[in-house]
Amino acid sequence: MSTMATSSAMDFDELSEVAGRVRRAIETVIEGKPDVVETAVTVLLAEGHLLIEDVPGVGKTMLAKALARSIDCSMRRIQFTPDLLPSDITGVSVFNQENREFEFRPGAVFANIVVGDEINRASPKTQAALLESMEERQVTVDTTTYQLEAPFMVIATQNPIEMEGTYPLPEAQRDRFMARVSMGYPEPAAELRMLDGHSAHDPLADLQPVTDGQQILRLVKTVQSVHVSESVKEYAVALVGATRRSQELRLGASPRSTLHLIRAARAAAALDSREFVLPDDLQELAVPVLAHRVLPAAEAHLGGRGSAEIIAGLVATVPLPRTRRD
Amino acid sequence: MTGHARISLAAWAATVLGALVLTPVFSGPFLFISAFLCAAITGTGIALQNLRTPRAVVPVVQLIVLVELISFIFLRDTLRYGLVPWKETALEFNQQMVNAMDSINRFSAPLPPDDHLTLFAASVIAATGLLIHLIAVQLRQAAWSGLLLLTMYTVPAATVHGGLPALLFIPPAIGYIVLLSAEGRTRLSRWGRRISGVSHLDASQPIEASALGQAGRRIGLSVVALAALLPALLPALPEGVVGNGLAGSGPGTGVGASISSTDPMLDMGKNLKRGDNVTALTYSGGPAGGTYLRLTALDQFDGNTWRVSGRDGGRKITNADLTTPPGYTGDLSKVTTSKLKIEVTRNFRSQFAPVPYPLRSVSLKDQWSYDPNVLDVLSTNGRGVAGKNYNLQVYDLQPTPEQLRDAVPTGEPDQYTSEVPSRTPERIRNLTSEVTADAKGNPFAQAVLLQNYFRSGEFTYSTDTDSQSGMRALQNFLLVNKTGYCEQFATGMALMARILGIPARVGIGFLPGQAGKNGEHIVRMHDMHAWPELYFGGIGWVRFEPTPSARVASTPSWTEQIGPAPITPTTNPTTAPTTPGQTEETDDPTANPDRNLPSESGSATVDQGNWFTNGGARIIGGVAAGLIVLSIPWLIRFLLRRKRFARLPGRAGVEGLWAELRDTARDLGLDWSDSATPRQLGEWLVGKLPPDLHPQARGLARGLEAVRYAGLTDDTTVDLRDDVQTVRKALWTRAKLLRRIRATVLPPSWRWYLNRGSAEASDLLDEFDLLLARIRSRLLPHRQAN
Repeated sequence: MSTMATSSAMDFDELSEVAGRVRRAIETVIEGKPDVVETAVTVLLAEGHLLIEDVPGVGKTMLAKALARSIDCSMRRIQFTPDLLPSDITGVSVFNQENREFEFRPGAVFANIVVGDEINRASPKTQAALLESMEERQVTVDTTTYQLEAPFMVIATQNPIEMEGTYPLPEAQRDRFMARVSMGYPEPAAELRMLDGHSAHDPLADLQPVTDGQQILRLVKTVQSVHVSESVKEYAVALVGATRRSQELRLGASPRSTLHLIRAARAAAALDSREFVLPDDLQELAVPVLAHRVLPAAEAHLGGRGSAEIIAGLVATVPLPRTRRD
Repeated sequence: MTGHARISLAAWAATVLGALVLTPVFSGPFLFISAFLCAAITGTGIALQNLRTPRAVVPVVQLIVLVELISFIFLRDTLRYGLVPWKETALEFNQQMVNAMDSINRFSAPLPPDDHLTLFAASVIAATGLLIHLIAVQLRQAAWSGLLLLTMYTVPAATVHGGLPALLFIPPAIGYIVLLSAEGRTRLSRWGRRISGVSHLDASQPIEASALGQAGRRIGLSVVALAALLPALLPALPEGVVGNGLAGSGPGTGVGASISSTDPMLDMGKNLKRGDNVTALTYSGGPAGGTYLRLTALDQFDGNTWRVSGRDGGRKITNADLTTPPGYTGDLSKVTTSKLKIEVTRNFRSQFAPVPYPLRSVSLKDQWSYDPNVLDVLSTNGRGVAGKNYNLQVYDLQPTPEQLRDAVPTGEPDQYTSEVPSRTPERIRNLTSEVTADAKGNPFAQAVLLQNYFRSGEFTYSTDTDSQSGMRALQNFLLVNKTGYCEQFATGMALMARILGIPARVGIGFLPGQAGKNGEHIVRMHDMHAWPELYFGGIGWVRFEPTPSARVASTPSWTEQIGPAPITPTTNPTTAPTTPGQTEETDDPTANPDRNLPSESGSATVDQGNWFTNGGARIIGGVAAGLIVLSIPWLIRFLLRRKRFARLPGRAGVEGLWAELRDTARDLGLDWSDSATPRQLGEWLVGKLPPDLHPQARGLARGLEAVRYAGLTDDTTVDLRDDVQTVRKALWTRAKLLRRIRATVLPPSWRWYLNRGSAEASDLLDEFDLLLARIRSRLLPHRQAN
C-alpha cells in the first residue's frame, strides 16, 4: 500500500468529505433515517439505481428529490400515472414545419438524476421504457441511439404491490435496481422535529447543491479503485448462491446481483475511508441489494417471512469462505 | 421412484458390494451370477409390491424364483420338462453342496473355480440377498441387515490367511451406508411431500428432502471411518506377538512368514474327516513296509495350540547333504541310507514337502528351504508341493532299545520343546507320574510306558471328536472321555513327556500308506497322521506311536520287547557310537547349555519367565497403546498449534494464528461462528476478554482484515503471534477447569474437523444422489407430472 496508496489517499479524503456534505444536506430534509441516506449515497457512488419502496407519505419522494437537489446537475422528475406513455420518458421525434424535418425532443429520462415517482402506477410498457434506458444508459428512438449523460441515476419510488392501482414491477425489472430501501415510519422525536421544520416552509427549497456532476464522476472513479480480495468475491458468490439453494426462496438472486453487491460494497468501503472491501460491507448491503430480487416460496410467504428476513437469515448462516491454509 | 423400489435397489447394491469381499475366497463367475440372482429377487420384490401382493407372499415367491433360477443355471439336467425342479434336483443340489463344503475344508483360499463351488457361493450370496431384502424392504429394518453383511465379511476375514486387504472393507461399508440412507429418505418422505410450486426445481434439489438420510449417512460414515482408522492408528501388534508367543514371525522373507500362515494340525483334521479318500502322493524306494513321511513338527505349545515355532528363515538346499540330524552324535558315515522317489498329486496342497526323517538330501532346490532343527522342507514362494516330483535320500536311523535306555540327558535341543504351559492341570501331572511310576526315572522307559498306556484298552480311537489339542481338550481327552484320534494321542503323549522332562514335539505327516505294485506305496488323505517325537541325548529325535492299534497296527521297533527294568548298556557301532556317561558332547548347535537343568525346575523357571515377560509386556503394551490412543486428539492439536505458531509473519502465518484462536475458542466451548466476519469476531472476543486486552482483540481482527482483504503486496510486517498468545492465554485462564480439561484431552475442535470431513464425504454422496435424481427425472418424465 505504498505509492498508490498515498496518491489515492487524497481521493478518499475528498470522497468522504463530499459524501459527508451530501449526507448532511439530505438529512436536513429527511430526519432520523441515517441508514437509508447512507444506502442512497452508496448507490449514487456505485453508479446504481435506487428503488425506494414504502407506503405513501413517509418521504420517499422527499428523499429522492433531496438527493437530486444536493448535487448540482440536471434533474427530472416523472410522475408515473396509468396514462403515461413510453415516449413521455424517452422522447419523441416531432415534425418541424419550419425546416420540414423530424426533430428529436428528448424525454424526461435525459437528465443526470431521474426521479421516477410511483413507478408502479404506470403501465408495464411505460415502465419498460425507463428500465431499458437504466441498464443500457442510452435511448433509441426511430433507429437513432442517444447516449445519456453521466452520471446517470434513476431514483424510483413505489408503493407496496398490495396497494390499489399498482402494476407490480416484474422480477426482471426489479433486478435492474441496485438496491431497494424502505423508509419506514419516523421515530416520534423525528416526527416532532419534522412538524416544527416543515410547517413553516419547505426545507427542500432551502437545500443548496453541495457538489456537482463532475465531482461525482471523479468519486465514482475513486470507488472503482477499491480493492476486492478473492476471499470477498468468494463470499459474495457464496451469499448469492445460498439464495438460489434456499428452501424458502422460489427464485434466487441473479448473477447481476452479485455484480451489484460487489459494486455497492466498494462504495460502502470507500465511504468508510477504506481502500478494500470487507465481508462486513457485503453483510450490511445484502438485504438492500438482494431482497427485492428474490421471490419467497409459498411456505415462507404463508409463514409471514419476507424476503428481507430470509436474506438476513442466510447472511447469518452462510460461512465465510475458508482460506486455503489455516 | 417409490421408497420401496429405492430401498430394494439399495439392498441389492448392498448385497453385491458385500459379496465383493468373497472374491479372495472364491474364484470364477460367482459374483456375476449372484448379482444376477439378487437382481432377480429384487425385481420380483418390486414387481410384486407394485401389484399390491400381500407382504407375506413376497418372500415365498422370491424364494421360488431363486430356486428355479439356481436349478436352471446349475442343475439343468435334473429338471423335469426342462423347467420344474424335482427330487433329483434337490439331491443333486445337496450333493454339490456337500462336495463344496468338502472342497472348502480341503483347500485353503482362494478356492478353484469349480462348478460346485460357484453354485455354493452363488446360493449363499443369493440367500443372503434374499434375507437382506426381507429385513430391509419387507420388515423396514435396514439397520439389521448390517449383521448379514458383517457375517459375509467374516467369512474371508476368518479363512484367508494373512488377513484381508484393508480396502476390501470399503465396498460393504458403502453398501451399508447406501442402504441406510435410502431407508432414511424413505422414512422422511413418508411424512409428506414438499409443497413448493416450482416443479422443475424439484429434480435438481432432492438433497434437502433427504435430511434424515443425510444424518444417517453422516453417522454411518463417522462410524465406518472410525472403525477403519482406529486400528490403523493403534501401534501395530504383529501377529507373532499375540499368536506365536515368544516367536516373532515378522515380515521376513520366505520361511518365517509362510509358516505362520498355515496350521498343519487343522489341515490334518480336515483331511482325516474328508468324505472322499483321494490319493495324496505315491512313493517308491525306502525300507520295506514303507516309511512315515513327515511334513513338519510342531514344537511350540502355549496351552492353546501346537504350532511351528517362528523361524528366521530356512537354509538353502544345495546338492550337498543337509545338516546332520539334530542331537545325533554318532558317525553318520556308517549309517545306511535309502533313496526315495516321491510324486505328490495335485490334490495335496501344502507348503511343506512330505519327507521321511531324518532327511539327508532332497532334489527340491529353488524356492525351497529346510529347517536344520526339524529337517522339514518348506516352499518359500507359497506355491506348495502339489504336483511336484522329487527324489531324496534318508538315513536309516534305527536306534535300539538299549541305546535309548542308556541315553543320557544332554540338555534341551531348543528353547520350545521342554516348555510345559503353566496352566497345565495338576491332575495331568499326577496322571503322568502315576503311569510312569514303574520306569524308575529312566526317560526311555517312561516314554515306552506312556506309549503303552495310550495303546492300552483304556483309550478309544475316533475321529468324531472336536479336532482340538488345546489344554482344555487335552484335559478332557486324558482325564475324562479318553476318546480321540491321532492329534489327541500325539499331543497328549508329547505333553506328558514334557512333564517328565523329556523334550517332545509333535510330528505331522503321513503313515506309510498302502503298498502297490513294483514296490510303490500309495498314500491317501486319510493316511494323514500325527505322532510324538521325543528327544534323547546322543540319538536325537525319536518317533513314538501312542495311537491305538485300531488305527496304527505297529509301534516303532525300538519300543518293542522291552521290560521296565534297566538292562545292561551295550554299544551298537552302526547307530549309537556314544557310550553312557559321555555327557560333554553338545555338538547340536541348537542345544542350550544354560538350560541344562533338572527337568521339573527347568520347566518351572521357563514358565515363570514366560508369565512375567509375556504378561507384563502385554499389560504394559496395552496400557501404553491405550494412552497413545487417548492422546491422539491432544497430540494433533499440539502439533497443529506448534506448526501455526512456527510460521513466519505474513498471510499464511496470520491465517494460521487466527485459525488457532478459533480452535482454542471452540476447544473451550465458546461459540465461534463460521458466518461471522473478522470484525464481528473481534468484537465478540472483546466481550470475552478483560478490558486491558480489548485493543489486542480488535488489533487481531484488523490484522487479519489487512492480510486477508486489503490485497497487500508486502504483508510480512503483520505479526500477530504475541497478541494471539496473550489472547489465547486469557481465554484459557477465564475458562472453567472442566472446560480446560476437556479442551486438553478431547479438544472439540478436533471433533469439528472430523465432522467436517464426514460432512464433505457426505456431500459427495449427495452429489451421487443428485446424479441419480437427474437420471431418474430423465428416464421417468411422466412421473414427474404426478
